[in-house]
Amino acid sequence: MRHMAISAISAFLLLVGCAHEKPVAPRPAATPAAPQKAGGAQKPQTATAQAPAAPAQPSPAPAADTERAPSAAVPASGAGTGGRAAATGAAGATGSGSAKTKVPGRNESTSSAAPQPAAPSGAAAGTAAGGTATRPGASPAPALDLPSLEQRLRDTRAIGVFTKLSLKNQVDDLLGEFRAFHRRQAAVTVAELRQKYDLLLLKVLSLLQDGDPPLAAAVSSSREAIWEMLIDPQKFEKLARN
Amino acid sequence: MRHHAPVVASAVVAALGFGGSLRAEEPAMGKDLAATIALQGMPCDKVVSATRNGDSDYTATCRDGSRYHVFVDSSGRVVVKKL
Repeated sequence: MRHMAISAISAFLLLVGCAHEKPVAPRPAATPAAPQKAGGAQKPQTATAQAPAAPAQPSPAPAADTERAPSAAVPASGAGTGGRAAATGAAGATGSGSAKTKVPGRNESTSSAAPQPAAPSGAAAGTAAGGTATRPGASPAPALDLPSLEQRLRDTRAIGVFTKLSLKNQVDDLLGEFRAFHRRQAAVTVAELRQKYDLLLLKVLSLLQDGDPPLAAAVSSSREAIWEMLIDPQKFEKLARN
Repeated sequence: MRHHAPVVASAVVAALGFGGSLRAEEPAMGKDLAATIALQGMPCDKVVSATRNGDSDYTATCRDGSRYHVFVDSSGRVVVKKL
């Protein structure tokens, strides 16, 4: 009787083990052999392997939810902490589950990384758009309306009075340097002038970009046109006369 | 005298609150001064208080405790001096 009982229990356990593993086999589509080999000896491992695989699959795959839902619910309720412990193992074991969780992360990282290079290149508040707008030919020339730009800068409330006056001082200083450059009175190079010009424009843009973005965009789009006006002796003379 | 004490105290508090500082009345002035100081290449994260000394003449105190005298000189230039 004892032998009968032992054999009956072992047979029952085997049956239970096989019945428990059957839903596991279809889930990892690539490696169905591994859980089958685990068999009855490694029941806890298969159970923990099921735990992460089961929640990962029902959400993306609506098919066969009715079959997997109960099997997913059993390990989740049975091994609350085991699910977390298995998550580390599942990262290596269930490649599909980990891939599913990583792919959105990668997409996010790539999508977030994509604008990051764009931001520094156009760090000066739409300078990228402005730069592309100014360079291709005839469109920037009519866009540059220096008197109206000057008036808008005077009228904007994004910059305080003291700041405007300080900026005007710096603009006058730079114009003096351009004047000296054109008269060949100063030993300043074009590169140095360009650097100073860019720095001053960046200051203006940084002051405008929060309070008056349209004006910041207008200034940044006029950057090259203003520079050409400043560096050309004849245009500069005209500008100085006006 | 005891009846007058709260009145005097409230008057003192009101005087302290409205006296000579731009904190409550003009937050934009603080931003303007901070931007002006920064434009001159001096560090000032935020102006926490500013005192008007005269026409276009202010003493600004920054968050880090540094104080600056910001004024327009006779030639129309904005001058920032660290105090």
